[in-house]
Amino acid sequence: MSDLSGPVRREGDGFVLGVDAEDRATLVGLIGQLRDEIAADGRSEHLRRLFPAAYHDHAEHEAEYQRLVHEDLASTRLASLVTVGEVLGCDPGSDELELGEDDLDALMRALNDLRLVIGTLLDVSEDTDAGDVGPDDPDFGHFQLYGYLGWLLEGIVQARMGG
Amino acid sequence: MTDVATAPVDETTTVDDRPWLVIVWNDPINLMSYVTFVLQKLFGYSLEKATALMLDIHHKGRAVVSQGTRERAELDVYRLHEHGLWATMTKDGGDA
Repeated sequence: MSDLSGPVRREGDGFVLGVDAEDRATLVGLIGQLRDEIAADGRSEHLRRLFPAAYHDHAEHEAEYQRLVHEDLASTRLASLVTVGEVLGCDPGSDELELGEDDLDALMRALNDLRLVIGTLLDVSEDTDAGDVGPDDPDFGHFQLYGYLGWLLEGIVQARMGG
Repeated sequence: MTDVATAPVDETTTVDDRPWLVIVWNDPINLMSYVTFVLQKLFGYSLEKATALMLDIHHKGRAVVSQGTRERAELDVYRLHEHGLWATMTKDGGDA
């Protein structure tokens, strides 16, 4: 894997994800945790960024929207996370993975979901500078993970935008 | 049957034909490149238009990314939520 070309490259009709099997297994574990949490209680406080309000100034419409749509959004999200978990688990002997565009986009959404949840747990704000978080900080590991997910997501977006 | 011609007109229930505005709000987590890409993918916007909207969101705190009927706006909000963007819809205060 070359740092210069980023973690994802276009190849033929699809894409190649240059993430080794060990890191993919880590991602599968994280995605599984998120899946379980959404399945258990999609309205948990730290999942709030995954299920925002639709009407910010109309309580009645908002209640109706949540009643009709929340479960739908949760099940769409769950199905997508299941797919991503399965795809990432393929080819465990290889340090690269071939992906079609739809699977890559599902992975992109899953990585963004994970960042939203971890970022919420870390209380990330515009002023947050992960570089200020030292190894002694109890959140250090989570900030490392948050940074890794951002790097990988950025690579996917660049590959999808043709860069 | 009500005589429509003489039914009183209630000014407060006249049809409000303003479009629903779909707004994306700034948030500290989503990557700028990701927001730009999602706007291109969902709405078919050019890179220039999607980038301009993303910069509006980033600098002004929010931007109207689409507008239309309530049903259309709800669908757009749903798809934006599916992609993890912080979107809401309203009839008021779009670019205010």
